[in-house]
Amino acid sequence: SKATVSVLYWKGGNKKNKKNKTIIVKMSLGSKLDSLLSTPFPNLDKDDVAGALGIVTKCSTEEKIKQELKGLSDEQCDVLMKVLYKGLETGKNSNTLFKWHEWLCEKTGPGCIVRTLTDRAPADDADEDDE
Amino acid sequence: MAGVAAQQPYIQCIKRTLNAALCVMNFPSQVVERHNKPEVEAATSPEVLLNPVVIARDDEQVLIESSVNSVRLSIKIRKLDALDTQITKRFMDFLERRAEHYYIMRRKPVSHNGVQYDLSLLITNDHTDTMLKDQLIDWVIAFMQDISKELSDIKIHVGVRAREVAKDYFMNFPK
Repeated sequence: SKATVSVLYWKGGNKKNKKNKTIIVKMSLGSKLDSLLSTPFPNLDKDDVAGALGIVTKCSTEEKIKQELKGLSDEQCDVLMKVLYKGLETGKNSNTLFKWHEWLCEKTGPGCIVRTLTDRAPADDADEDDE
Repeated sequence: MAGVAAQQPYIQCIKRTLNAALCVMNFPSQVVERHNKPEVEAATSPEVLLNPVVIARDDEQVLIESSVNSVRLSIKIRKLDALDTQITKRFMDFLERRAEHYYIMRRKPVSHNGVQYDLSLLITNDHTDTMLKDQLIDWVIAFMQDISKELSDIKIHVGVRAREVAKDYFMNFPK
């Protein structure tokens, strides 16, 4: 799926001439999850998932959650499940994360959880060549 | 100690995770021949161990460690004060001394990443072969809820007993 990026606002500088401005860019949930695609679950850090969790915790109603989940691909759903479990470790915003967990499982089934539990870094090919 | 209704999303999340984690099968030890050990306990081969997950809600949390032939579930109960800590410790010791009656209870709770859990359950492929997986999960969930209820009842009874004892003692000192 395509990453959707929208310009949030112009910060600083001259409003008329738009000189010396920094663009604050709002990333969608899908694009945040795409950036975590190559990181296996054991290597995921709290800092890595902070961006995605920030968007997740803002959507606390059922309608918003379902709307966000509609736009996610299967791979993004798997990454989202990993992000949810990382977020659940801290115990913060747990009610929102439980709702996300429920609706994500409704969409993907228990296989998503199994893929999170079995996720690990791929074996390094260089080690095999040393033999 | 926590409201039952407020705990429901937490309980359901644990239930879904357990349902996924309890896909265990018989797997003899790869290290010692003719031995069959729960790999989550023996941890002899890293490739058969799955990623541990922690599901936390406020001060209570559950750790689910899975492997190819066994799953270990550790529970940390929410404790508000020193009295809760004492009651929980004594109640857990009481249960752990009778662990064989519960089949899946571990005699000592585990410690993971610096967190000491209050109670641990070890479910192996033998248990999932002889018992229905869905009912096993329902039992574990009901057990967690019953423990919370028991501990709050014990705390209330401690207060009631203390009041009665104090009332009786102060009868010796009439005004």
